Amino acid sequence: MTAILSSPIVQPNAYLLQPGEEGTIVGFSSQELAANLMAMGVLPGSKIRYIRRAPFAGAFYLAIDHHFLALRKTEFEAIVIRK
Amino acid sequence: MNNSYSPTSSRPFRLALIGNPNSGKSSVFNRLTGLQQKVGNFPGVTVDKKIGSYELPGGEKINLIDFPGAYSFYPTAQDEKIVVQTLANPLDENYPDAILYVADFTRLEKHLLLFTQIRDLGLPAILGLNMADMAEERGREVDTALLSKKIGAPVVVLSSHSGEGFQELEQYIHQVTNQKSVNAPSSFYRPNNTEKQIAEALSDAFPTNTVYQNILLAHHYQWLPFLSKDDRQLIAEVTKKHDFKTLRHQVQETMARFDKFEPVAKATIKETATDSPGFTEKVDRILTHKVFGPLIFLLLMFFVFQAIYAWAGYPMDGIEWIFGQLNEMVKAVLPAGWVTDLLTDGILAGLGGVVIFIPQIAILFFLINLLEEVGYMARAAYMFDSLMHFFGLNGRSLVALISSGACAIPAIMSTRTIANWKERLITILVAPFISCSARLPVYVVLIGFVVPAGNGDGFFNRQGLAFMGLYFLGIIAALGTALFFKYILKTEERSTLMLELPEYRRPLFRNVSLNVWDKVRSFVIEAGKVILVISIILWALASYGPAEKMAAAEAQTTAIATAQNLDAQAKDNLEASLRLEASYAGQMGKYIEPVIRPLGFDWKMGVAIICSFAAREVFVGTMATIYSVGSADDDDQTGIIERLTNERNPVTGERVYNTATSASLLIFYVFAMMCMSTLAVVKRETKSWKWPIFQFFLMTGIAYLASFAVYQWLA
Repeated sequence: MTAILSSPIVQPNAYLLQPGEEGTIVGFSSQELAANLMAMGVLPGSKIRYIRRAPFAGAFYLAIDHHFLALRKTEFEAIVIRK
Repeated sequence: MNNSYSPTSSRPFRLALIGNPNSGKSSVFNRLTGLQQKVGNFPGVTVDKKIGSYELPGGEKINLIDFPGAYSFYPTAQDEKIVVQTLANPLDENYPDAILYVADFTRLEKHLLLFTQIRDLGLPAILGLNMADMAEERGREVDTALLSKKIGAPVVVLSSHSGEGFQELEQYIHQVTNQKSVNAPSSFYRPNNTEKQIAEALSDAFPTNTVYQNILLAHHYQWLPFLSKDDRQLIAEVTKKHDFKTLRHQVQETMARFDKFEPVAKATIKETATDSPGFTEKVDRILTHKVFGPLIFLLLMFFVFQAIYAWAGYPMDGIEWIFGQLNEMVKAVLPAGWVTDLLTDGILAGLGGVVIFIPQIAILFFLINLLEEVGYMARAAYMFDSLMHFFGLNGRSLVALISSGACAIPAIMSTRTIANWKERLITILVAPFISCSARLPVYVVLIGFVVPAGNGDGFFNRQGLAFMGLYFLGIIAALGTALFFKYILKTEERSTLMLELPEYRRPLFRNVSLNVWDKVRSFVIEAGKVILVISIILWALASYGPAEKMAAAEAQTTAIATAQNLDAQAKDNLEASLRLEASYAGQMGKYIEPVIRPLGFDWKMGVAIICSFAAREVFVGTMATIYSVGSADDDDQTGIIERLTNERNPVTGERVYNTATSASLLIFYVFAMMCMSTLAVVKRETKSWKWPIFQFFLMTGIAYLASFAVYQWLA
C-alpha cells in the first residue's frame, strides 16, 4: 500500500506533461495531498490528461479519466505518473 | 437508544440527504420538498441546514435534512466537517434514521467513496443515481438490480429535470421508514488490526454504534465538537498506545475502498465509449481560453450590471406608483392626526424603501445563481485562482466576492469551502468592501445627482457606467486590503486548490427560482424588520423634540412669517423645516455635524448615516421619512429623488445635493462598514470579536478619508 508514495525523482511527475499529453497515475509524492486528491477521484491507475493552464500562470485544467479538475502547481507536481 | 426512531415515536422520521459536491443533491432536495423548506443552522456553526418536510403518498411525514456536499469522512473544509461530526455521533440531534445518498450517475465510479463509508454506520440507505438525462446522452446504462445486490441497498436512477425515478424513490423511502428494507449492509472495508483494537478500546466509552464510528473518533477526536476534554484525553492515549497514524490509515482506507467498489461500479455500468471531446471540453476551449476566458468573464459581469439597471426600472416605477396610491388612500380614509402621519410618513415611507429594491436584488441573485447552476462559476474560480492567490486569496474566494455583490452575509458563509484559514479570513475581511445590494438603493438615489441620465455620446447608459465604477472601487478596495493582509497575517498552513469543474448542464428553473425566492424573502423579512422599526423610531424622533425648543421653533416661524408676510403654504413649509431642526433627530444630527462637515454632509444626512450603521439600506427609507416629515405639502406625491433635488439650503438657496456632496456621500457608502448583521456573522465565523471590530474601524476609517478627499477636491 505504501508503494503509492513514490519519490518524484525516480519517476516523472505530472508537471512534466505537455498540454494535450496523457499519462497514467502511479502514485503521489505527498501523503497529505494523496489523501485529499484520492477522495476527489484522483487515483493510482487513473488516466490524467493535461488540457490547459489558466491565465496569469495559474491553475492546471486536467481531465482525470473523463472528469475535469483544476489543480495548482503544487498539487499537480505531487502526482507521480507513467507516460 | 432514546434517539432512535420507531413508527410510534412522536418525532418525524429523519432522512439525511448526503452526497458529493456537484452531485445535484440540491436539485433532488428541491424536487422532493418544493417550497416546504426551512433554513436553520447546524449547532455551533453557521453552516446552512435545510430541512424540508415531505409527505409520502401514504401520508407519512418525514423530515429531509440536506447536508453540505462532502467527498469523504476526511473533511478538508469547514462545511464538510458537519457530515462527519453528525454521523459519528448517534446522540446528535440531526443523526438520521436513514440516508438518501445522491451520486452523479455520470461519475459513479468516483462518487461512491463516501457512500461506502456511510454503509459502515449501519444505517439503512438508498442510493440515487442523479443526472440520468446526462448519462443517457452519453449512452451510459446501469444494471440497477445487480448494483443494488452488490451494495446492499436499493438503487434508483433519477433525473431532476424530467422527474424520472422519483415515484420509485418514494416507494423506497416508504419502505425505509417502515424499516422493511434494512438490508444487511455489505461493507467495502475491512479494518486492519490496529483499527480494530482501537475501536474495541473505545467502544465502551462512547455512544457509537459501529466499529467504523470508533475509528472515525480516532481520526478526528482533536476537533470533533461533541467530545469532552476527558474524551479527547482518553482517545489520545489509545491512539498513542497503538501508534495510530491518521494520515497513513486514511490513505490506506481510501485505497482499499476504491479497490473494492471501482470494479463493482465498472461491472454494473455499460457505456458506449466516446473518445472525442465532449460538449464541456469544446465549450471550455473558448470559455477558459487564456485570453478570451477572462474577457468573456468581464463581459458577463458587465452584462449583469447593465441588466440590473435596464430591467429593474419598470417594476420599480410600478412599485413606487403603488405606494403612492396607498399613501393617498390612507390619507383619504383616515382623519388627519398623528396615527395617519405615523402610517404614511413613518411606516409606508419606510416599507416602500425596502420593497422598491426587490426587482434589482432579484435580478442580481437570479443571474449569479444561473451562472452557478450552469457550472460556470467553477471556471471563473479556476481562471482567476492565481490572480486571487497573488492577493492572498483563493480561486474560491472569487465566488464569495461575487456573491458579496448581492449580500456579504451569504458570501462570508460561503467561505467555508476554503480550506486554508488565512485565505478564508482574508476573504471574510475584504468581502464587505464589494458593493452589496443594500448599497444599490443609495447608489440609485445619489448617482442621479452626480451623473446626468441618458446615453451621452456613447452607446452605454452613463449612469450604468458610473454604477459599474462604484463596483470597481469596491473591488479595488477589497483587493488592496487583501494584499495588505497577505503580508501581515502569518500561517504555516498549506494553501491548495482542488476544484472540480463540473460538466456544463442545463439550469433547472426550479433550483434558480427557489434560490432567488429564498434570498429575496430573507432580504425583505430581515432588512424589512430593521427598517420598519428604525423608520418608526425615526418618525418619532423627527416629529417630537424638547418642548422649549419646539415652542421656540413655532415662535420663530410666526415671527419670520409675519416679518416676511408669507402665505399659508410657505409658512407651513417653514414651520415643518424649523420643527425638524428642533426635533430630537435634528439635535442628534447637529451633534455630529462638526465631524461630518468636512465631508460635505449636513445634519439631515448625519441622521441618515447614524441610522445606516444598523443597516445601510435604511438610508433611503430614512431620507424618505425625514423629508416627508419635513414637507408640509401633504398632497406631495413626488418620489424621494425629486424631494432631494428640490432640497435647498434655506440660507443660501443652493441645492443641498450638489455634485460634491453627493459624490462624497456615495464614496462614504462604498467603503464604510454599515451592517450589524455582517459584523455578527464575521464574529460567528472567526469565533472572536477581534476581527469584526478591526474590520469596522478599518472600513469606516477608509470611508472617512476617501470622502474627505473627494469632497475637498470637488467642492
